Amino acid sequence: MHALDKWIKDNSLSRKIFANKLKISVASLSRYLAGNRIPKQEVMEKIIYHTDGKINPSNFYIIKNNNTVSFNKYKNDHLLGIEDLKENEISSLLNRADTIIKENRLEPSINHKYSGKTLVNLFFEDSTRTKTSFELAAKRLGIDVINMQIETSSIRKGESLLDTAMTLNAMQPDILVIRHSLSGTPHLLANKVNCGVINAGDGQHEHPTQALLDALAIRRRKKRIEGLKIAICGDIAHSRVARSNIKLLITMGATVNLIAPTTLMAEGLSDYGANIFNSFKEGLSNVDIVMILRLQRERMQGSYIPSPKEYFKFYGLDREKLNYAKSDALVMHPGPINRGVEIDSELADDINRTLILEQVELGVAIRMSVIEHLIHNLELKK
Amino acid sequence: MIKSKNKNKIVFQNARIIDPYTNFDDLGDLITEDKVIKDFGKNLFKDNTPEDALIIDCKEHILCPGFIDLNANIGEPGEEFKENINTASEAALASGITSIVCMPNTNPVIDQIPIIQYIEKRAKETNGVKIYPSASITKNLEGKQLTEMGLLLEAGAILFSEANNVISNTKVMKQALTYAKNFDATIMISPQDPDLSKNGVMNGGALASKLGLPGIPKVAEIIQIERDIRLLESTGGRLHFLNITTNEAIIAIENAKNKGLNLTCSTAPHYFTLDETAVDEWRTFAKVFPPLRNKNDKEAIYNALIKDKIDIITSHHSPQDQDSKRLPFEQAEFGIIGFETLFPISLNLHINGKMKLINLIDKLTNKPAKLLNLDTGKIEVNSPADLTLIDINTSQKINLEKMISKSNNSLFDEHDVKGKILCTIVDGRIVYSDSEFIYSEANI
Repeated sequence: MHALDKWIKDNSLSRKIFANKLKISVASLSRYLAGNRIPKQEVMEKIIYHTDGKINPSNFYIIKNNNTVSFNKYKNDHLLGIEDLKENEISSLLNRADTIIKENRLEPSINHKYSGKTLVNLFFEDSTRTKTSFELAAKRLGIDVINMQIETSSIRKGESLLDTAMTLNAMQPDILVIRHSLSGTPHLLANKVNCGVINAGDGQHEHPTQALLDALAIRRRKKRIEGLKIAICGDIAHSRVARSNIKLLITMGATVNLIAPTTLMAEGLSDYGANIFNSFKEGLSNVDIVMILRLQRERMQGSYIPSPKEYFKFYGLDREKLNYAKSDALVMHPGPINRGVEIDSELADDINRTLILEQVELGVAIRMSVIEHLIHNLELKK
Repeated sequence: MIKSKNKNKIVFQNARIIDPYTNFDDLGDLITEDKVIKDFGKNLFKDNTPEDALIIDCKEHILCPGFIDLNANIGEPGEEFKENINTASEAALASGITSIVCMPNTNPVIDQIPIIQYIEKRAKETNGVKIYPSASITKNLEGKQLTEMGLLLEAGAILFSEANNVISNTKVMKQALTYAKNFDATIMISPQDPDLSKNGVMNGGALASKLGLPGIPKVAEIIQIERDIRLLESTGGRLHFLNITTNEAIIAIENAKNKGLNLTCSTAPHYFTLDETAVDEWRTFAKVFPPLRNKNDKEAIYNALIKDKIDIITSHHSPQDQDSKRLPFEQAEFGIIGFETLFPISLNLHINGKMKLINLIDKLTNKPAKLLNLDTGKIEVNSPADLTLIDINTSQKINLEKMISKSNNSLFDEHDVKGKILCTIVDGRIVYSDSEFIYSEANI
């Protein structure tokens, strides 16, 4: 029920009486209440006047929720990983992001639905794009954002992780976004706090919002995920992005090929249904999407691979290797890029073949979608 | 049934006496006098029960030698907030354990005489469980310089161990085995290749990969065992491997024993009862070193005990306080407490695994006594009266809140078990008795 409808009812009026007060027809009022039209300024002023300001413009600018049904598919208070998510839950998160993109691009949102909500960015690891992306997503939703500076905070003074979390929890934020270098940390916190927890990357475990935005990028370009053949290449062993992507893409019905030198391949990933390859030639055969992972600098020298030069020769993506894939195959990379190590610099800049910048842009929409879902679920609980 | 206050003499009537040393398993009576077992046997007191003794009607419960635990961390010195000698002693005695070997990875490390003296002094003050300190093989557990083995033995060290460490330098390990021979001392190692296990926090494999945790591969244990066996072959001497967790390790050790090497090995209840799946959802109580392996290894350890391929069961008692465990998995400390679950969990080998009770008790009494060259762990006339009385019929639930140990980092909460300790005797003194048991006896 529209807030004005409720106000009319609460004040024992009818639409007809209220329409008369506004000197407009009942049909016009009904259009406003159905959300099909927004009152003009002079009508809006009257509405505010007659309702003593209880009803204001924000009640008319609420983004209409076309996906109410799928919006409710994701029922969790947290987003800790892709593991255990079902297809309809993932679709719900992706669909909402799609809607948000449409609305974002049409007009800047005037959204007070979430004003007064707070999101805390708790980043124990360096991050540019993920942290900014969460901050921007929250701000677009009208949510207040607090960025925890780990260098200056009491964590450096020896306060334990759980104590920090409990202190933050006492301030009653609605969403806690956490990135930590140790696997399982978001799960540990989620058990202790009352707010929604979003995993923004934990150790070598998962990075669910990255996988969701990758899926969204794929779906927008290829119009589907099911039936696609997707290769994930590079440092699989140490990559949380790879783990989240493998789970998500296979759940959504894609075929996943993993390509890595043997020292950088993780055990047990074929249990999820992924195919394991050690060379691009076989691994890229007939592939629609090539995802390249970042190679951490500290692994470039020493026992994992002998040198960046050798790595690029055999496992760096260039146009020649890309030719093994389908002719319209697209290249993705979660960033930041090591040019000339895992991907050829010129190829990385080819906007016809890569989705790299689009991935960053879609990240904001995905994070808005996730935040909205969690707040929606948390409110239902109250 | 207390009939006399004379505590210098205790009569155990109507007990099922099980002693692996003499291979005795029969109903009978036992009498202690002062610190030793005076006599035992069937129908010992046909007509003339001694008037001046304290008499306990055992109701056919099991009376066996007190357990000897080779592998205990007791918090002192250095980590008294996790466990101290008093709490460790009480927890051990309530578990039927009458002798323990404490590990040298204390702070400071047990690598010099004053630390040994300190522990012996504290043990004497506590006057409970018998504590035999093991000294480190190398100074400060650094794997470089040997400790003063001869002097440490004179001061009271029972053997030499590197606790959770190994000696990665092959030459130092060779020297340790060779030098220990001068004193016929035992070297005890928890085998795990340090390079392969570095930074690892759980069993390597698919589950570790799924959880994003660095793994300790099985081969880390096997490589270390095979290297040390090769060394033992060339040096001779006495070597014991603690914490065996893999099937391949058992095979390697069996082959070495067949060659006639003086080699023994042990494992702990969690390694034959739990597997790596206990770690799922980053449960830090399941973080233990070496790690819980997979289902196949767990079963292999279980069967190896039944087939007598593993000589001894230890508690691997490693107390950790809440703050050491309530952390992200990789930061949490290793360790599971083991005293109070040692016998109840091990008893499953008898109940479900059809292992003979006397063989199970052998692994907790006679075998460790033999390894340590102790004159206890047996029921024999004039040997120390270190005994325990156990009810193996009544079921009970393990309850962490009732743990006597100062820490409660056990994974066996809520497990249904049998094997209740009714009474524990050290040097002829009753040092523990189950309240219900003694009260009900006294009321008769």
